[in-house]
Amino acid sequence: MMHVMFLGFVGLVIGSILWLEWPSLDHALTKAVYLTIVFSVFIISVVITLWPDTPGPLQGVRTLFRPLILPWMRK
Amino acid sequence: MERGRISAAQVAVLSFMAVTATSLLTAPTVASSVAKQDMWLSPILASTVGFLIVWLLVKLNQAYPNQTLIEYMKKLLGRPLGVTIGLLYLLFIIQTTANVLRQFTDFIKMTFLLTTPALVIAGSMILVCALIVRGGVETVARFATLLLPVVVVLILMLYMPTIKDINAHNFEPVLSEGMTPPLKGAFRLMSWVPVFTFMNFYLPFVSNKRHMLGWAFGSVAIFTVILFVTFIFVYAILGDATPIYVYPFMVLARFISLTEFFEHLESLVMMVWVVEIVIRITFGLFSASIGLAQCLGLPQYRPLVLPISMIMVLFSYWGITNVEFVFSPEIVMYYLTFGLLLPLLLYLASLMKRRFGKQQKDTEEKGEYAV
Amino acid sequence: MTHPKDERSTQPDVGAAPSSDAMPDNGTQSTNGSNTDNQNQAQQSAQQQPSQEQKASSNSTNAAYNSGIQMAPTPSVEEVLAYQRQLLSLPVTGKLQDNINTVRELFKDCSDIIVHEFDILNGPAASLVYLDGLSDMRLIDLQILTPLQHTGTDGAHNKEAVVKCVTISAMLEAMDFENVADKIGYGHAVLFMDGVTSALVYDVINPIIRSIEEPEAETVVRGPREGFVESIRTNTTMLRRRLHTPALKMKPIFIGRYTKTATVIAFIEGIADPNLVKEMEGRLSAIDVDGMTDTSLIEEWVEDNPLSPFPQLMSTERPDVVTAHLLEGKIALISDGSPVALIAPASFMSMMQSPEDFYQRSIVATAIRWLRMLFSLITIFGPSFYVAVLSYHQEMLPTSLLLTIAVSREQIPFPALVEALLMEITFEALREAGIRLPRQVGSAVSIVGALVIGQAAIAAGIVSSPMVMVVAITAVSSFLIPNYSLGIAIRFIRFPIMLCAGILGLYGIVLAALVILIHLMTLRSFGVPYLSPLAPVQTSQLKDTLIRTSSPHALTRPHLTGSFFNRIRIRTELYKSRRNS
Repeated sequence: MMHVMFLGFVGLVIGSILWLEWPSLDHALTKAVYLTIVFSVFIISVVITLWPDTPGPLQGVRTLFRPLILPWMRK
Repeated sequence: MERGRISAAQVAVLSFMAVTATSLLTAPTVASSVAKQDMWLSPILASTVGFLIVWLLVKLNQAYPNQTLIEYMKKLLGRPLGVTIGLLYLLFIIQTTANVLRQFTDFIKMTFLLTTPALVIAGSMILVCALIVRGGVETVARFATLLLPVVVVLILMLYMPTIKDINAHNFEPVLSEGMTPPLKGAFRLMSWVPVFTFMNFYLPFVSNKRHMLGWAFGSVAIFTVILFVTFIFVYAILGDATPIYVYPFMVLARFISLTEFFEHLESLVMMVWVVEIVIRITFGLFSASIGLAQCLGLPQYRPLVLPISMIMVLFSYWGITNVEFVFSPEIVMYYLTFGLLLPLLLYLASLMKRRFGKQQKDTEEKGEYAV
Repeated sequence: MTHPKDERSTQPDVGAAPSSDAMPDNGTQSTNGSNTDNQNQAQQSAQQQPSQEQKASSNSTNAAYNSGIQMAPTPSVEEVLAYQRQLLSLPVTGKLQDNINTVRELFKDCSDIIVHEFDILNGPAASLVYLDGLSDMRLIDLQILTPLQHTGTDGAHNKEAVVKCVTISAMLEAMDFENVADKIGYGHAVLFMDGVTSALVYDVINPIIRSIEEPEAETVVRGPREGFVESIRTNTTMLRRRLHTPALKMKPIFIGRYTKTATVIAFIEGIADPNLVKEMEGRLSAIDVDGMTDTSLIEEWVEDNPLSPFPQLMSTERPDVVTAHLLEGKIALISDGSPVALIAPASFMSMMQSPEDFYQRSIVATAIRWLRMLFSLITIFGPSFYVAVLSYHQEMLPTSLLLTIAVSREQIPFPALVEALLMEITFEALREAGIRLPRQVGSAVSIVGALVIGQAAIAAGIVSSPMVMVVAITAVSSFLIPNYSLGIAIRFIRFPIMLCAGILGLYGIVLAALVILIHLMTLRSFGVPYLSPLAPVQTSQLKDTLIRTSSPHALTRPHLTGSFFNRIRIRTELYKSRRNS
């Protein structure tokens, strides 16, 4: 229930900023970028709310850079 | 895209305040956990990286006067590679700023507003920052300059009463294990220093570029000095207990009991920190918005401010369960890669292009002038 | 209203039964000729209408009149306006009777219009038109009618002879009726002469003004106590009495189609930026309204940002304040019918200065200025701090104080935010009511306010005494702000800050303060940033903002408003040489 309310609130915020900003987005590319970002934010927030342990970008960074650190860590 | 003009001094003040923001509060813990009593050397060692980054950025800006890093990266590396690395760089900016937002939210939630949902705290902060960024580069710079006296006065108010508690013996023995601990501490400080690289987004808008290098060095220097003084105060007063506290500066504030009345001034610390975090987040948010607009070739950056701020709030929650995560060495390497390595590579690329490109006809103008 | 079967119809029943479809025909045909037929006065002038087509319709409506109860319907507003416009576009003809008829038509239902027809001695027939009350009848009788009727023009029938005869110096000539109607409306007397194709306009306006008193909202302890009044001539005279130089320019502009209010842009040529004057002129000439009664309407039209609570033009009733700002390079707007002058461009710090700062000694004035700024901060943040500290940050208070406050708040059923909002809103209501209190009741109501709202509310357990103290200090400190519009703005922004304090504590106060700061930073008044010496930091102007430098040291004019060329306003070589010797 809390999840639904929270996600509904996020959706409401996204809807309101879309509605207010839409007339000022002139380029088609701007509209596309705006919509992409906003919808991916919503989808990711749904994912995080329902599965809280989803790895995030920091985990990605950690796995990427771990090989660089390993030689030093052993010292 | 952006027609505002700011002065070199304003950029310097802005960068210095942005970088000092988080470091004041949490850097003593991080540095003292590896360097123990020699942590006071760490800021001086870390500042070399800071000077290097700033020097690279100013030199690159001299080669490409009205362009930010994203734009001349596209020019130097070609469009497809440039756009990809540009997007990764933007992810870096958003990531660092989101980390700061998360640190701030945790701080406020743990110490003051215990029951307020974190989204409210983070959301209100990011909304204020979005408001500032939408006002343009002049608003961002003017805001930092306007709040500089407030921050300086409040910090001084927190340092002065603690002078009587300084115990210089806490620093002994000095350099007992050689230079390795301060170097390790300086490495830890690299979580904060690469933020100076965001300065490149403001350099195209500077009107008096002649003194830019001097002011940029000055900004790094003042950051070093403030960090140095803070480290000395904190370690002199708290001693070995420094690594235990997550926020030693706050503990310092709680120590103050000048008279019976001026007690419990951690709310003052909180107010200073809110102001500084606002400056830090606007620093990052403006860079990210202009960067994204230039990376994708959009004409206006203002509509992108709100979506990017939503991404920032999202990233400050995604996958971070514990803020200690942020100080891990992998993250430091990540920061260093994008903060130091990228400008270095770009600078070398621009040198090579100038050397080998002199035979070909160069259509772009190069604004070379002596520092 | 004109239903044919209306038994209370005012028209006599002359026979034939009215038919309802005869009415609309009459309605469409009813031009203003039929309108005048139904009026009692000026019936004979209907036949002398300059337009020919109305004679035909008046004949037809005469027929309609005779045939039934039909009353000619009242003419629509459209028709009335068209008729007015047509009359106003007529030129002054050489025939006196035509002119008199046109004037009578124009001022048809005005009971105070006087059309005096007479013969100039040994000269042409003439008529003098003026509005009773606006024009000075004694002056008219003495200066216009006496020479004309006793001395005359010695047989000449031209304009120059009449001009030579009448000894009033403020004289104009009017060629068309638009001009004539304007001038009569202002109170001039217009002289029509037979055989002359223009009318002579004499300025015989009877000045009815309030006497010059001290403005109630801007009092000083030491300094001049004159305030502007409602007549523009008196106001500009008061300025001229202080600036005896031809460089003081006053550009006139008339605003409002019906009020035709005379407005004057005053500036000192050579000090004020000419671009600023041109910009102001452009903005004022773009105002096309029906009427303008007070300078506050100009303010709304001319501002850059009408939605902001902060005033972007400074309003003042004192001529010495206007003089000082004109000397700094600003421009002033003075308008007829309003004692308030507007000064543009305005900045936040200029509105926080009281004229008294400059009449007192510099060190004392600096101290008072700092006091004022401190108390302005208390006005804005006082109740918010109280709410935030009591709700979220109780550890900030010293323990003994905390215990006292806790005891007094124990029985209060409301949380601190609600209590604070309640008290603050009540106090604002009291303040607003106090403006309209008749003087006799004032003292009684203030006692009631103090006793009831203060003491009894505490005793009843509705509010706590620390809250009343906070409200009282806030109220007193809000009176330290010299400019009333700025004071209202500051009092108004207190409430959102209080709400943020109640929701997020001290963090909320900081955020709300930052938002207001951002708004102030981006606000501009005629291109000058609102927080001017502070936001883009201009160290040369700080000497007048934070401290009040003594006069021998205030060398330059403020930079953004005055011309950069003429910026030295004090030359101190002689002064310094005398002091050193």
